[in-house]
Amino acid sequence: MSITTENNEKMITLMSSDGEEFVVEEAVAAQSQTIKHLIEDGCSTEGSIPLPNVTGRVLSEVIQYCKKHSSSDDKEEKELEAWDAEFVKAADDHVALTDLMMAANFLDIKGLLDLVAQTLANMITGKSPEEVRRMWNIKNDFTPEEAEKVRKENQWAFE
Amino acid sequence: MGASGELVADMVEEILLRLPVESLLRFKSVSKQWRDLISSSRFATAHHRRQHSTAHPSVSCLLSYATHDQDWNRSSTEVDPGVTLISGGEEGGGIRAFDLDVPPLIITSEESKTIVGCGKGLVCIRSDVEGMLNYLWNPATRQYRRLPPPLFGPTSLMLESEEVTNVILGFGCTANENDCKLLRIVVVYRYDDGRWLTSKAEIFSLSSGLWTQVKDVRKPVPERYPQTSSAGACVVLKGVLYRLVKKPVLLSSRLIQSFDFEDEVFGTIDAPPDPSCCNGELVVCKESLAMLSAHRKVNPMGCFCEIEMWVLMEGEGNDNHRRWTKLFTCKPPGSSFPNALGNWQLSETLFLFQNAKREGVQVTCDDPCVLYLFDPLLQKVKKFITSYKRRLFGRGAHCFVPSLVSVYAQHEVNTCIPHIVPQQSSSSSLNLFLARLGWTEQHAHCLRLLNWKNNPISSDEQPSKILKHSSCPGNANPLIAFGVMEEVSGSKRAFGFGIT
Repeated sequence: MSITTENNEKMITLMSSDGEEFVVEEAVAAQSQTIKHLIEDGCSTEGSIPLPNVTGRVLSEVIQYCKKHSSSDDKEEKELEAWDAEFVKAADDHVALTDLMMAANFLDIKGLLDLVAQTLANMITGKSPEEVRRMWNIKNDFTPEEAEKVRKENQWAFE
Repeated sequence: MGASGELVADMVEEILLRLPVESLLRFKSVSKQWRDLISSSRFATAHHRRQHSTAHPSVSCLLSYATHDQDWNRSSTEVDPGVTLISGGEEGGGIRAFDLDVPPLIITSEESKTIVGCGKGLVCIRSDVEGMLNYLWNPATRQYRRLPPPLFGPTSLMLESEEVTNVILGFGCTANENDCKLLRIVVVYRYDDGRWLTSKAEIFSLSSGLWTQVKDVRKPVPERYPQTSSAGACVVLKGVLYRLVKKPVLLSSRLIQSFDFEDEVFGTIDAPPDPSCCNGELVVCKESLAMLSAHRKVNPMGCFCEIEMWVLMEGEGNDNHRRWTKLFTCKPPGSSFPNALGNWQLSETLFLFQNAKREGVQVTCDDPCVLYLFDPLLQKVKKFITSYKRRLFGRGAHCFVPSLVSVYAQHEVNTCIPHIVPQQSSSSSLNLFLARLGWTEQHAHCLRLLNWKNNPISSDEQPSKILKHSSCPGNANPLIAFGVMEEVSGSKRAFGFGIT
């Protein structure tokens, strides 16, 4: 379903996995390479674009990011950086950030993927392997002997 | 998409690519999947590229090597040779300097050691005068190896009538960062048919793991004696090595020899026209080749020193003619006579000086060392680090970005024989291999794989080449090994036996 606004901006509707609908300008949605290709292929003319991998909560954040980045031009780079920093801060914890990163990857929004990946990287830089495992529920599949071997090889990084 | 907050494999890599080396080594313990990813050479390369492509690499450091310098007063405190790493300074952050643990194998020998150069996070160390014994060391992963002996040794590929007078080494990576190479120039005196000076050049490539002769017909300029200056001897910029050499005929003037690591060709550039540049050092300034010369001047007030900076500017128009331009002249603080040590940060415009000589005062090891930074943009000299063991700044400074890059080529097996267990071959492919043993002293029985194919080695030229190499005199334990090799989930295992 295509709607045209007063200033002749084409609107499209995105539907999240939990059925929430978002009406956004095409230029905003096209920040996502995935959606851009769908629009080019004519998928947006009939009804809304379903995004089965993204929940409404995450999608609203993604749209927030895309809106900001499509309205700013290059001159405001400093301001945009500050906005980005606030944006990831607001995402709160690593679970929200991980979901955001997955969405950025699925929707193919390079800037957002970079931003979130860097934020998560900064978050874990000083952490221990055990803390990292707990963050993402990663199973420690080393036998005690193997674990000791890996640890020994990289001993200095633990000091 | 999986459960909320779940991390899939692709995303793991996206995050890990943005981490510093130290964190990555620690995170090898997280899980097997993380370990395999971090250990893979593909990841090491991608990680290194990323570090380089970012405007400010996460850590940009400086290495310096101290050796038993003869000209220093050694009656005072003896300081062991070592490597100092200076890091930090990101956006004015704290600069830290600390000593690195140099592998004991590399330092325990009487002969003087020098850092030849750095590339892709690897440090090349020369440990003898003839440049026969060289090491590759990754200070971040602490992995190191001894390089295979070069082709031109005292008894191999050299004529009876030849005598080696000088050996010059240069290490760096190609412009595309795909390979690291060590250039070795051997200057020889030939006695047959009169006496004349000539040179031979060979190159070791990390990706092939082999030495080969440089095919370029242009010979490197033969310099009879080793240069006394240590730092500015070689500069690598965009995959090209530059070296200041004395002109063979007019010994008072100098020219710059270049060597492209990618195409493996030599070239020459004239040095700046100013005669004072004879004592200059090559550095990098604003991503161009530059020369820094310091000279003493006397006026009624006393002695002072002046520094000149010359930069090789790209020519305008189509002729592509590069010319030297004097950027500026300035005075360092006091009457100190600075030595240019090298660059701080990768393409940054900062230089290091050592407050090396003081008027009328014998320099001792106990004196605090002052390092100065020189900022060509502001054309100012400022204090960088003080009160550090002065000896550690005795030699050149090298730009260094830590990496996970292996000191071995991808195809080289680096496994201890006692640990090689023939695996039950399931889905993996078995390969016949032929290998040479005994290059690394770290593990006396290391395998160095020279050839492995899906088919048994046939009549190609490789086997004979290997035999010739392994019978080279001067090798530690020349051995040939053969057997089978298999690849199991990215890691290579080998099983076989060797003959002396």
